Amino acid sequence: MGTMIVAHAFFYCTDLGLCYNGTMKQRFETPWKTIHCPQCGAVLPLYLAQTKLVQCRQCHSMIFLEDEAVRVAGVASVLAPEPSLVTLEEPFAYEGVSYLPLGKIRYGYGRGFWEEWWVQNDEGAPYWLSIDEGDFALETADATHPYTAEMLEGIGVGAMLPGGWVVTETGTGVCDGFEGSLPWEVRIGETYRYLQLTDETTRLRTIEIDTGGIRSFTGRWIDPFAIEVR
Amino acid sequence: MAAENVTAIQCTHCGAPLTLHGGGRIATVTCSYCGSVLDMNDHYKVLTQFRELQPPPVPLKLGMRGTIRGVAWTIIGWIKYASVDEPSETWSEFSLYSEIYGYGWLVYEAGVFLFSRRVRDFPLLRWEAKRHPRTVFYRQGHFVASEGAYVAEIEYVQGELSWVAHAGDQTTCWDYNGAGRRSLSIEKSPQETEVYLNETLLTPRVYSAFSLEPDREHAIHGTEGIDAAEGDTERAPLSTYTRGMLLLAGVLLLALLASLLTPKLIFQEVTSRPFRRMVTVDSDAFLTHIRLKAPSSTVLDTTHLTLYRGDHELYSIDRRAAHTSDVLLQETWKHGDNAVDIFIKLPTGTYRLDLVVFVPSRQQISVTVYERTMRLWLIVPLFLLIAVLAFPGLKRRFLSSDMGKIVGVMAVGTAGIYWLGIGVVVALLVLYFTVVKPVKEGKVSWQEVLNDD
Repeated sequence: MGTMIVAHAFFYCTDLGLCYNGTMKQRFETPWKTIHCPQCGAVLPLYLAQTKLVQCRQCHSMIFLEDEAVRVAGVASVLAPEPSLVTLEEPFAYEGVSYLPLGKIRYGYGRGFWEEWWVQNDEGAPYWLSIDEGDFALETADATHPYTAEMLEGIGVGAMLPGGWVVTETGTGVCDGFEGSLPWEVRIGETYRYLQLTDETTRLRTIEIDTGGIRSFTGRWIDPFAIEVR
Repeated sequence: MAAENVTAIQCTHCGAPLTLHGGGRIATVTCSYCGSVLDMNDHYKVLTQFRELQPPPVPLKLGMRGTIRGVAWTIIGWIKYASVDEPSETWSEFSLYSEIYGYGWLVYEAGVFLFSRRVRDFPLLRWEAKRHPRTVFYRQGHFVASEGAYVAEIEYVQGELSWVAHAGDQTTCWDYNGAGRRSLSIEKSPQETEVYLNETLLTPRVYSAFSLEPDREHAIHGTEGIDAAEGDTERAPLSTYTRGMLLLAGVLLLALLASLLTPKLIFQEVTSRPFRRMVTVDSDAFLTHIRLKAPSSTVLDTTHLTLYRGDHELYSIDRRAAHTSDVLLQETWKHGDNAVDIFIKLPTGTYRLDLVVFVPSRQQISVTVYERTMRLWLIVPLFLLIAVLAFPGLKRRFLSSDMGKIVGVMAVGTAGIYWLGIGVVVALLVLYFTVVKPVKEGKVSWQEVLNDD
């Protein structure tokens, strides 16, 4: 009986994600590899092999990673600090899974902005956490998608796309800048067009269109009140 | 807590000073003085104007800050709605803004506050395909439609909103009540359909959160003040009566569990011969259970069991009678039974069991004795009764009125079916023993039975 109680207590703790600060942080603290900023020599940890772009925390240089080589591509302006539920390289938990924010891109629209956070979960899988004034969505990048520029041309809210997807929102945003590390190059100042879609099961899909091509992400809306931060 | 970004502007129509608190999605600000709706994205150009300038009496106002669910919110906008079907039915919705959690709503109607947030993971396409079903399942909870669709109309606006509101704008609404204090609102306007998840708040806590003076609240609402909130009764602590009932139910539940776990086998023998055996009872907790079982009623009818303590006969039973003191089972078995269960309160000690078989046969009889036994049939009805008595208090605390009705109807229905079933079984038994059996045994004829009257 005693052994059972101990076992249950352990699983209870883990299931609720209450232990992430103790165990998961240690796992996150081991980067996949580290590089040195070619500009100032600062040590930059890389957590995911997919990382292609890093901003140096000391000199704010933008560093591209090309195979084993690193290349400085200028200096990015520092994003104005804004209040946020999540913080770079500070783990948070959602539904018992821990995530580590690695980088973020800020897009401006009209009088506001939204942010796309590149995060990895405790198994090392990359996700995108979209935060737009209290609306939180967790998505993964789709390896393939059926969308073409012609298909998405002039499409609006209510339009149906293959797979039972319905367009619920369209808009544009300007890339204001980024912080941390990212899996691809971002062009600061470039305008992005996006489509937001949903299907019958309330899944979420976001399609981003820019000069670099079309990207598709699939995931779901999440409850910000269920996010646990330290 | 994040610093608040506050901007001060002047109304481009009347010059009144206006304070802006909201985030990037704010599209308009409506002047509190002249009712002009100003375009936030086009140099505060006047888009439209509200004629009704007299604000309804509410305890909150723009710019107030309060903490709900641990988040600091600022009241940035205010809409007064009225029901189109019943114009006297009005309510206020205050737009809330947090720099981290975005936007929310504080709905106020007749002293009751709801905290409301737009949700985007509701299966709206499925809901529309099913043509507004009566029940919905969302975030692991059931919600039941509280009434049919109704149409709400905007009467009055102040402050910042994320869209351009006009006087008379109409929204069709469907409300669903869930367990506890949760509810869903689905609102359909000509532009889009939105879903909101609501939570009834304790009215005194809202007053405290927004630092409202109690006097001010009572002066405005009179008897519709804090105590009028239905949500409070749902959230009110359990009464002493309900707690007592729950305690009793808990004790009985423990007894139920104990009855399954505690019985201990202290004697068992299967034989076709008479015997005399000593049995030791180690525990006098609960009852001692003696079970006499034969392969057939005929065999059982030939047995006689006697229980002694020393030379003193405590109890004896056979087909004809049971002789006893201190027994719970007062009568013997009937012909047709092939087993009998005897429950006795026995002090600890050593007892003697004598089994006599009047007509020896090869068929074997089983005698089993358990100590620490409880009788479920005494406990279960009491448990059910206490559960029914405690239900009103639990319903107020944990269930919405609609859910409470459903659970109540289900409970009464289950109890009704239970007792009806027992009644039917008793009636059939009575019919069998008074009519069918005598006829089968040739004691009376069907004709005599039918002509009995």
